Amino acid sequence: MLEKIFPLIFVLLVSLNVSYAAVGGQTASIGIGTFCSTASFCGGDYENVCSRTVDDICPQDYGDWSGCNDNIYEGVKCLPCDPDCGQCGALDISLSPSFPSPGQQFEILTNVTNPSKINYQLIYYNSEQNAFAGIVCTDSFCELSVPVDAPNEGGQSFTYSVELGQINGQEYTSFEYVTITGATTPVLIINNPIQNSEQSGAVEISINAESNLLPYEFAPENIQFVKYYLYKYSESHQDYVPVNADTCTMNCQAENCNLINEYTDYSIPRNENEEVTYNWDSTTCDNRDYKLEIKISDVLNSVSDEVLFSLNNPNPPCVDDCSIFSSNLFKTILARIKVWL
Amino acid sequence: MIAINTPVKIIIGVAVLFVVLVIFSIFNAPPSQDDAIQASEPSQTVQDSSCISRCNGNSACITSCNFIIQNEAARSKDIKKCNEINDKEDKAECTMVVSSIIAETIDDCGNDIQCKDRLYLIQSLIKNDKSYCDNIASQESKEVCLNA
Repeated sequence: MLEKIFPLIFVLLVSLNVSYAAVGGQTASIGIGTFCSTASFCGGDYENVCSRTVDDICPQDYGDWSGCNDNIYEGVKCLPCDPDCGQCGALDISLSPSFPSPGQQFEILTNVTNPSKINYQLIYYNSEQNAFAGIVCTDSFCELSVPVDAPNEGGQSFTYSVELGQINGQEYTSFEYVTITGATTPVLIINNPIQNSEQSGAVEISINAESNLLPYEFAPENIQFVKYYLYKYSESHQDYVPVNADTCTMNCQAENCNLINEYTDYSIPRNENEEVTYNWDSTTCDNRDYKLEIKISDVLNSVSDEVLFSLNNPNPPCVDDCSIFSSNLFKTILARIKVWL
Repeated sequence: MIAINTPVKIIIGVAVLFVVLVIFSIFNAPPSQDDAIQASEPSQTVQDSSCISRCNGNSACITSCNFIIQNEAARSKDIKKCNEINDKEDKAECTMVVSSIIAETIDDCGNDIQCKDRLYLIQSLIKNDKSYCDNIASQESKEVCLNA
């Protein structure tokens, strides 16, 4: 009997310890987004979500929240604002999308927590402090969405403010005046090669890459990096597949194996027209259809664009499926022998 | 099968396991309340110096950080809190916003047109009188006032 008790006690103690360690947060990870709202444990089996309900647990105490944006409230990153993490007002504000493209219409999402059903008046202000929208909230929870247009320039920061007040008889009380910031994504325009064009020799790749966000004082450039990725059309895959940057073969599985060039660390060469240029030697590739993908990034966001083109070089090398039996020379000789016979 | 002859050996075995468990738990324990408070202290007292250090010189981040101070200043209607902002432009904006919020009369606004527009808009809402909208300088704000 005692011989059975000992292993049972052992198993019990070990299982107790394992479940305790999991709750201990050593395996906590964060669902990274622009705003963070969840701390998950044990690979997502257990989650602690930011909420307006007081439960004495602040999710941002667990895991690494350094990549998460600050909420509008001091010391709080949780969205919605979690009263267990700091002092919360009645507002939760976010942008959708978080980083609009230049000129894009986006939404200012405003949630008002109003358990006392106060007759709230919300006034929205633009960066010039001019009011552009007014909404009343009398429900216990108001979910509001106000559309606005992003600036037309790339990497352009902007601000909007929301005032929450109460009209009570002949008196107005302002409870909150919250300013939120945002920024547009950088601008990327591929000037050359032109879409569906035919190229040969040294292909001049020319782009406009613009952002107004200064990454840090004395930064030489606002664009952090420009990366060029090459793809080739594969008949067997019926799609563009990465090609080896050195050999131009479709044998390219490693990460960045199709990276033909990159400018990094805010060191971006520009010509007299402020374009970013790169001359790519296409003679190492065979005459097929290609796709060039270009990625750029500023201090906040990265964007990408792509262009399709074909190559028509004289005497192109054979780079894929180059066995002697599939070569043009072999096929020509074979055809002549057949004719001679 | 483990050969156990006496209850003493069982007790010793359990005791050893318990000690191992306690040691293991110390290294895997959740952060204590004190630790959590200590860890959150730097972000609880946001100042511009910490904005700069927190943002590694990233100007967009510093601006956002300064706005959080402005939001706190506006909420507490404490214009002195704007002094926590080092950047001159951001501090001036913070001061202007808080001054505008605490202004009760048009005279309190001085030459600040946006402050006056806000008060006319609020007066119109309180008294449900659209005539106040005529005094608003900004066309955009005037439309909000007329449509409210």
